[in-house]
Amino acid sequence: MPRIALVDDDRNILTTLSICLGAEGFTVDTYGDGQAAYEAFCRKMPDLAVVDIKMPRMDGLSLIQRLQGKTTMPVIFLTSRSDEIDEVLGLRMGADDYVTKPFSQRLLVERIRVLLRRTGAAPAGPDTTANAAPLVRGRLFMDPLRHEVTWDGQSVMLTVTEFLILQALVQRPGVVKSREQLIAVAYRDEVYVDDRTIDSHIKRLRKKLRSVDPGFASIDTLYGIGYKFQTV
Amino acid sequence: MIPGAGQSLHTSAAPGDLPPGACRREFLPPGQSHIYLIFAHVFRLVASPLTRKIWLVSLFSLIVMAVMPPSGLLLRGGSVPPAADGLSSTEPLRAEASSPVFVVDLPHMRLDGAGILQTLLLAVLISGVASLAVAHLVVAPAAGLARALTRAATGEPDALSDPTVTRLLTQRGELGDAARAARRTLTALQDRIAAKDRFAADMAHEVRNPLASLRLAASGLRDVRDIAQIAALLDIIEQDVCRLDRLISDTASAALLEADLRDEEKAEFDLTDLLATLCNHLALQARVKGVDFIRFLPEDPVRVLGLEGRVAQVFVNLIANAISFCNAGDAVRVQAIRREGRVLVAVEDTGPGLPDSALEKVFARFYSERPAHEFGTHSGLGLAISHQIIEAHKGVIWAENIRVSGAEDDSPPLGARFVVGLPLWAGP
Repeated sequence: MPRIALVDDDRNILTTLSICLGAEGFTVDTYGDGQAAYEAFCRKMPDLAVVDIKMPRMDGLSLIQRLQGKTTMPVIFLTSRSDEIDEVLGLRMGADDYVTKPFSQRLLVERIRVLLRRTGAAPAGPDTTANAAPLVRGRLFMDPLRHEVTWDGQSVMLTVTEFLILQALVQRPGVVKSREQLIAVAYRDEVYVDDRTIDSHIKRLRKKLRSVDPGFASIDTLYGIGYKFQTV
Repeated sequence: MIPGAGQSLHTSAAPGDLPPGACRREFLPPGQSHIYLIFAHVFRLVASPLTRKIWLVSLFSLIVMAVMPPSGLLLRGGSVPPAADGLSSTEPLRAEASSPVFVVDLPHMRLDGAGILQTLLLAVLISGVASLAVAHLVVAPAAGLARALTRAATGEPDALSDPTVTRLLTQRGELGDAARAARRTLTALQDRIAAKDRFAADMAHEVRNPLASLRLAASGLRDVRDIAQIAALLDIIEQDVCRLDRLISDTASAALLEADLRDEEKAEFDLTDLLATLCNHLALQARVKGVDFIRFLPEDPVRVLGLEGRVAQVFVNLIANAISFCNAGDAVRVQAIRREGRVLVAVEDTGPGLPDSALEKVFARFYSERPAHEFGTHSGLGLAISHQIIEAHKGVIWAENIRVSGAEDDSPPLGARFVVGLPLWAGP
């Protein structure tokens, strides 16, 4: 049974999340601040941590910075400010992900399952991310089952959201996907997601792919319309 | 109230002094008559740098017109012979013929076309040069300032970095004053807009926590079958609705505070009396919790100028906070002393103290460090509001931990102390 650590200073979020994740079959430990979580993690590392960014004593970023080099445990950050996201994702350029408050239980559970599958922890329940067939488009290879992406054989670490956006674009090369369509793919039943959130994801996607191929230019922007993937 | 020296002329109508609607004109500053004021006004105009510039330009024009022939008005040395054709109607003014002097030669009456044209051209040229000089010295900088302010009004952040305005900022005189005043006003406005933006962002951030737990609780109710868990989720929904309500109410009153502090008329009041009343009321609250309540207040009145209700709000907040951090057997002490033109009021408790890293942060909006059992009962705006009120009264407020003298800085505190300093009222 995968063990999930919840770290948040909001007692109600801890209670509701632990009840919801418990109902999904996870074992849940809760911590009210980063310091308490750090001390517990030093004794026994969980399979995955869901960490709020803004907390007293030790905030989420400080907690993850202190754990750098000690673990590859995936982390899902809880954030309520879009300006925090770049800083969060800049930390480890890869395995981590984030959800913005208020988020749906379903979205969080999906993210948790994908990250656990990626790290090899036992899957807890059915996979709802659909479409598990590998995709090959030119130099790009995507394996939805393992959430792996390679470009020219070089591995690229994407967040779950980035993976879903790239997958949506790659499934039909040359076809333009609007921001609304990409939001629907990446966020499903989220109540409100800003259009610019998709722009930020595309920016980070390009940056990650350019880190393995500086000439990467396969994602085109159609201003005012959306994005498309072009196989060269 | 009769204004003192240095106060300006104004009208006033005090209720009871005059019939309804009547208005009385009063009072000139002592020793100043209307003639004095007119003279002072004219002197200010004459002595102003802008006037000096215009005068310099006019003087330059006069000199040019005087020395450049063949304009009608000539200023030259020595005597002037009468016109050869005898048509001159004006006899030159002379002093002693033997000693050369400057004389004014009034216009000759020769009206030939070439002379008139030449004079007109010269007049146009001189006035053109003079206009250009005035435009360069006065109009161009004023127009540059106006353009910069127009750009600033559209939200351009660096509007006042325009070279014309930058030059004006270092100049003396009215235009320099206007540019500096514009910059001050713009900076103040930008600061206020930035503060409002931060407030909106902070508010959005604070709202998302209860919203997140509400959403999770609602979806959890669909999946959970355990009665105890259902009850816990329902409690959380109720609590989150209260949190949101409190947050919105406190935010609304914080938004009104700025206008109140600016618009409400400050009045003199007795702080000792105010503190005694508050202590009587809050001591009951402390007693219910089993907390000792100690007060050391001056026996005579301590006069302060301000908004009594708002100052009371600060002390209610500080004392109630102190009580909330105490358990049975702890103590809260309120002490007021006069010191160097100020009154210092300390609210101390023997609770757990504050994290040393939070001594300044406690006054930040939405910062909350509450006892666990008080989760969700405070919006985190109380101390930020107190800080704003005390600043508006030209006072100071700070927080510190109480430690035994000589104890290490990181030793556990004996409690927390909040100190408010307010200026004593020096009288009218």
